[in-house]
Amino acid sequence: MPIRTWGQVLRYLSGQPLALLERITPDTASQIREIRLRSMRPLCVVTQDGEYAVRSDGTLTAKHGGEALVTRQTIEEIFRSICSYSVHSHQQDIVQGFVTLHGGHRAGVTGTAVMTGEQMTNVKNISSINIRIASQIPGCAQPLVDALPTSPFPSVLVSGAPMSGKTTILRDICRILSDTYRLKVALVDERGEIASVCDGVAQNDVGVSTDVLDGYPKAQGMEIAIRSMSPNVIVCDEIGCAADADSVLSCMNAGVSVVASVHAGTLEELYARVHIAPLLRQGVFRYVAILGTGKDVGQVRQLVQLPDG
Amino acid sequence: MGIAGIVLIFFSCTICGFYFTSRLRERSLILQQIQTMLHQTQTQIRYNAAPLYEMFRSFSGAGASMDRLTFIGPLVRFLEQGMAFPPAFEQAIRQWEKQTLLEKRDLALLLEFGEGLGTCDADGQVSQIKLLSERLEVLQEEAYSCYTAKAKLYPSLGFLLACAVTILLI
Repeated sequence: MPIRTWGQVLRYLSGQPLALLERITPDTASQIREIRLRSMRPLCVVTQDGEYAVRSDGTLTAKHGGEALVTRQTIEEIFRSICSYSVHSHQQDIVQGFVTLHGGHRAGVTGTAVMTGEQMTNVKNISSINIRIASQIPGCAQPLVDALPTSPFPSVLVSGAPMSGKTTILRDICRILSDTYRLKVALVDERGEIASVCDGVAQNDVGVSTDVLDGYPKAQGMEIAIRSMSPNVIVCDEIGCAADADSVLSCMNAGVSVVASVHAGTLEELYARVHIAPLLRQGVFRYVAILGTGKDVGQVRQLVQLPDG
Repeated sequence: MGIAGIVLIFFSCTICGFYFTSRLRERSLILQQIQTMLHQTQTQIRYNAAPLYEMFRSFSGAGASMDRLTFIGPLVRFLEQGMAFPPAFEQAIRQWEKQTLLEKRDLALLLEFGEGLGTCDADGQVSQIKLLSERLEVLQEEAYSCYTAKAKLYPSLGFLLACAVTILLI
């Protein structure tokens, strides 16, 4: 059963969106994964079945039309609220595209990019906010961990389409390895999605023996973790580029297992990824767990053992 | 009995004069502390990127350099209660308004400071504070010159008033 903290999210909202969301029944609220606010568009929420507009009575509708629109002022006020009324403290986060909220939720922010030379330095005229409600599902990765050898724990690639629950699975793997198997886990949380550190405290349960490297670039974070934290396992989110692949290789050479996630719905898609395919062929990852989508979200659809490189 | 009455009149009128002088001095000192707060806010934003709650919490323990800004304590309490910063700041200032010796335009400037705080990036924030600081400097100079000009006037006026009252009574 997901731990959904609806109240934690609502405290960041104000005005008409707050009034509408307060009218949503607890049953419906428990299914909401994202709250989408767009300037001069209706308030929408995303459930596993898709995106719905919120009617004035708090019911959801797939057909847009006639709903009250979210004003620019409301967006601005909510933006300030998610930044704890300290926009200057969240400048880097805003440039990265999201702000981590208390409770591990994440607010994606888009608007007009402010460029200094070729570098994006700020975002102005905020036009869309997407509040992604964090879902911790303790035990969701247990069947996967049970299916893997634990001594030593192998390198595993968790693969899935967007919204298939990769981050939730990674978070639970962290927790299980750390709490149940007492392994030293280094979590390189570049995007702050797994541990959701807020004011220096991990908002999500990632286990007692987990060291969180929050906001570190993956390559640098893995290197620092190996050098300074002597982990048994390094966990990181969304590998994809050449630098990530090189870092994973370095981990393998250092004898540290890596659990990482990647965007790919099938094994074929995975082998089509330029920087991932060599890692699979060289036997860096011993297992690939492919996650399901829709009703099977957060569940391992296929566990593939790869041959040694 | 009569002499005691005359002494009392002299004493109270002169004290009144000194009281009004101290009010002028107090305004000048409060404005000086607000200027200190603006400078520290700038520093905290530029070098620590500190969130407003943390910033004001540190100000509340700043000691003598901000001890006259008694609105900071309630402001921190409001923020701890989960109130959003703009209404919390306004409410703290409105409460303080009843106790402070600041003038309406001083408070208006302070409210403007609270309204703009935390709304933009660090550079924008620093420029905004600099502008307010310059405006505050004008008020500060005015308050100080008012104090120096009237520092002797009010006690003297009190004394003269006492003389006048005594003569009238005699």
